[in-house]
Amino acid sequence: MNRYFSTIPWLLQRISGAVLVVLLAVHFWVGHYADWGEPITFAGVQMRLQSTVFITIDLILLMLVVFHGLNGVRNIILDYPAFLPHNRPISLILFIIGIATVIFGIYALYPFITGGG
Amino acid sequence: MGNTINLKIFRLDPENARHEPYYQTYTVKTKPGMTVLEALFNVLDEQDGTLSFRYSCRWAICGSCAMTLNGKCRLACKTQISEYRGTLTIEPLPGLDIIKDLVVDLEPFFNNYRKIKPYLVPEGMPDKENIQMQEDVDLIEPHIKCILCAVCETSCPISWTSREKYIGPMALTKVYRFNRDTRDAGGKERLEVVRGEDGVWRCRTIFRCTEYCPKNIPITEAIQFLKRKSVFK
Amino acid sequence: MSLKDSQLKILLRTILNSDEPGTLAYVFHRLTGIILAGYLFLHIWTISSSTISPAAFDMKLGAFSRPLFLVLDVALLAAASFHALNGVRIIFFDTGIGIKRQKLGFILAIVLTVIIALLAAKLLVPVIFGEG
Repeated sequence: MNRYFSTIPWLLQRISGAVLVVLLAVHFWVGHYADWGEPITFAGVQMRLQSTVFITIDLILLMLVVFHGLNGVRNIILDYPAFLPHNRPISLILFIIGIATVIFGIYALYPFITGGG
Repeated sequence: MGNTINLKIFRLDPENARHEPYYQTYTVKTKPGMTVLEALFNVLDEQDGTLSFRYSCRWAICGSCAMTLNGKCRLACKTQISEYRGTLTIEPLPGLDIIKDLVVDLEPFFNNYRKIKPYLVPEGMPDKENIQMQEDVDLIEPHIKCILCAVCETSCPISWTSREKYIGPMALTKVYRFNRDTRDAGGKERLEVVRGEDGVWRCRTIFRCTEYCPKNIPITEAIQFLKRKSVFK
Repeated sequence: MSLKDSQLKILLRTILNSDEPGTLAYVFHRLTGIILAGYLFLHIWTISSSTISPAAFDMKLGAFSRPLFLVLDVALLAAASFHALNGVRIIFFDTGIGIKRQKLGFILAIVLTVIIALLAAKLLVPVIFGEG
């Protein structure tokens, strides 16, 4: 990886951040605050996820938020001098965690899409 | 008038076998218009000849007398003693090796400076002198005032942690200053130096450099400009 | 006190002395970022109970509609709001807009966060006390 690679995570962090502001506002309102205090039920979420739009939004949200969060954590870690020489292993570990989280997230959403059971 | 101020000064004697720092308090009579540097001169001349600190011009031109005053990096010669009441704690600049008392080793700071070719790179041999119009000067106007005092560097939390891994606000200001100069043609090479992982991307827009710069240079603005240049390169 | 300790003390004093908005925004942005990243994993883990059975999901999510968790929801919303608003502030700087007004941007982010949190708290009052 050449030393000019850092432009890309920096840029993606900005773009994902900008998209997340909009998507999370929708997600918070629809998913949590519109009928706040009512327990969230499996049936309710399943009904919402019947529409392809919401499935798409949730999947994009999952991927963006995992990238944004883990890249943010990476930025914080690498701001400490003790971790700086280990940039590569740290980035690799966080990358693997990210991939695993996205797969696990899709796995967790899967019952809603197929209808549970 | 009988106004006095207590200067609590960081002391470190490298020839002392134990090599342990301590704080020493001196009481100085203040007078109107007195700067912190003048108060230090008072200590040096009348109370303790062993005190070391850097200074040269006393006019905020040379950038030698930057130090930590009550936890803020400032130029001693540009700071009025009347801003402080009671006790003023004077320490060397943070994040750099201390040589003696208030004198720090600025070599890592200047190493970063040398990396960016801090001089005009001509496009070839010019056949007549380069003409600078007012518009050309306006492009680089506040940034050309930089006096290399290291206040921005030592105010920046990212620079504290890793001077070899972050080129620092001062060098970036200089890149901006030379790259925007109409006489210069070395902009591409300088951009190659600063758009790497130890360059502009490590700036977290904390604004401490801009906040503390004794010459009021909008340093963060310059760094943001370089980030955009690096993206659209 | 050794030389290293006292150098560290100077550093600490310098950061603790920061009353200017830029440093506060940076520190808050980091703190809220870490909180939100932690919450993300908690959130996915909660949802993953759906893979056991719909009933398990309903039971777990039902537990999270207790008043204590609703109050924590307000705190979470405040953290997310600040992180989002300050993020917008940073993106503005990256595009070259409003760098000279960074302090105003921080104050705006704080004020809007407080307004959002207060509105959410107002929404919450009838939810907690309304039925009781």
